[in-house]
Amino acid sequence: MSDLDTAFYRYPPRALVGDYVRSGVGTTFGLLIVISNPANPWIVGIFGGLTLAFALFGLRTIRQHVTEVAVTSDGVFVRGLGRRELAWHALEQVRLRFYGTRRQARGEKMSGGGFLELTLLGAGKKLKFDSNLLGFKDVAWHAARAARENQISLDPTTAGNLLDIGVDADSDTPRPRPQDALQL
Amino acid sequence: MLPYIARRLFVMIPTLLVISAVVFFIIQLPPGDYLETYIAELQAQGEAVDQSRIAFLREQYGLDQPVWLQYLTWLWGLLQGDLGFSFEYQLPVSDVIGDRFLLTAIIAVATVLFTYLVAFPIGIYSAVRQYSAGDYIFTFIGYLGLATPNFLLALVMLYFANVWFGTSIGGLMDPDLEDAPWSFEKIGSVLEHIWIPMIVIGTAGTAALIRRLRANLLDELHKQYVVTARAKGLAEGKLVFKYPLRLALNPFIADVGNLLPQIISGAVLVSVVLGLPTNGPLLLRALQSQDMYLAGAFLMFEATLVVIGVMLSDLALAALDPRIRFTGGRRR
Repeated sequence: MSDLDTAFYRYPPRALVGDYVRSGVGTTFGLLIVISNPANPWIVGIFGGLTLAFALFGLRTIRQHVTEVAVTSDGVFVRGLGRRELAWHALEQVRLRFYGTRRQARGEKMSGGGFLELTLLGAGKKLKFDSNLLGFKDVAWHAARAARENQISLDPTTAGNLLDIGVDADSDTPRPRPQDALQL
Repeated sequence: MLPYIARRLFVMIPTLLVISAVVFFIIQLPPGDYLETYIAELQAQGEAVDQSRIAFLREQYGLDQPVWLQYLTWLWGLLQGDLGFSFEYQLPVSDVIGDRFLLTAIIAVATVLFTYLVAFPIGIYSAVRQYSAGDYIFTFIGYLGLATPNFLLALVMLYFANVWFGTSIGGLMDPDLEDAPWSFEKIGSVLEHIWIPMIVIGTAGTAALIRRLRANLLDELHKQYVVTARAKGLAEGKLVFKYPLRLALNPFIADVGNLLPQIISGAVLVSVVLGLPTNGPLLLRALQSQDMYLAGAFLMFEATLVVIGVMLSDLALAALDPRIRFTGGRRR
């Protein structure tokens, strides 16, 4: 695959099933409690907040479901509920964060249950990608390359996390192949 | 962060449902129920037992229903904010808990503050000045703190306060203020008394925290990045506080979840010895008398706080240290 190839990526529906179940069950559960006891402000506050969080999570899952990401040597283009794009030359900040379980943090459990979130900022825009995205490594690779070309300094956590997924932000690494799925 | 929060919240729902079932059925495990305990107490006192009244109470409390139905009724009540009815106090559970919950929370928060304020400077000093005279002295005191049971320390303090000062240090406020409404006088009285339980309950935790912080920080101080930073001339204070200390604190953040349950049941034995009006002795009494809704409410509170605490520590860790953690080398 040459650097100039355009690659299209989506969130695989199979990876989103769990999130749909979570948001559906969570929203229904919270809503049932609120409806059955609307007079108690504590119940409405606690379970209403819970319902809202799960509903927002459901919306975010739907957005991921319909999202298509195109990566070129010029920039990254996102199409789904609306269109957003970010040219690599306009990239100003890159963040790669890992969200895992407490057991992973303690070093007791090494894989499963965690995910990465890549945030790209520039030209007043903010794009976020979850590691469920097919081609997540490719997007991260492009972002790291653009950061180097734009002379953006990466925070140690981002640089370390990029290294951990096989992308060296300080030197050229081969562009990942589309089938190089990220396993966490 | 929202996906992470939603996923962690989702795990809480089945966890708490399972815990509620386990709590309810464990409380039911001892033979008999509250009314049988009540009858036995009446008979032991030589009083007559009116069987028709007992049957009436059994029906009124729902004790004649199958256990699974009692559980579902209780669970549905909890979800509606109804903690149930205390048989022994003949009051709603929320009324019984009342001020005790607040007082227990005050003691727990004061103890945690005391523990952290004392342990952190000593732990850092002991690690940075390893094998110094101060390190040996603090280590010795730490071992003493770990080895001394809290209730024993409470008894010793009660004894010496009585012998030396001729006063009782039990309780959390002056006896004449116990049933009075909250006022500045009552708050002042609580502040006068709180230092005793704070020291007694906090001693073991402080000693343990010193030992763990010292060990964690020493691990970090021996790493190569510290040697490199020192070789490059970074000031010692900045070096210790900016990098190794932050990483040494990760296990403590991960343990925040274990602090919250103390608000409910912390230091039962110390509370009994010192006569503190906290939740611990109330929970103990509820379990002894099979006052199942009171005991169940306490245990569910405790479980909920554990689950919330674990989630909070996960979120704090994710926010403070969002690195990938693999072993066996990096994956490519």
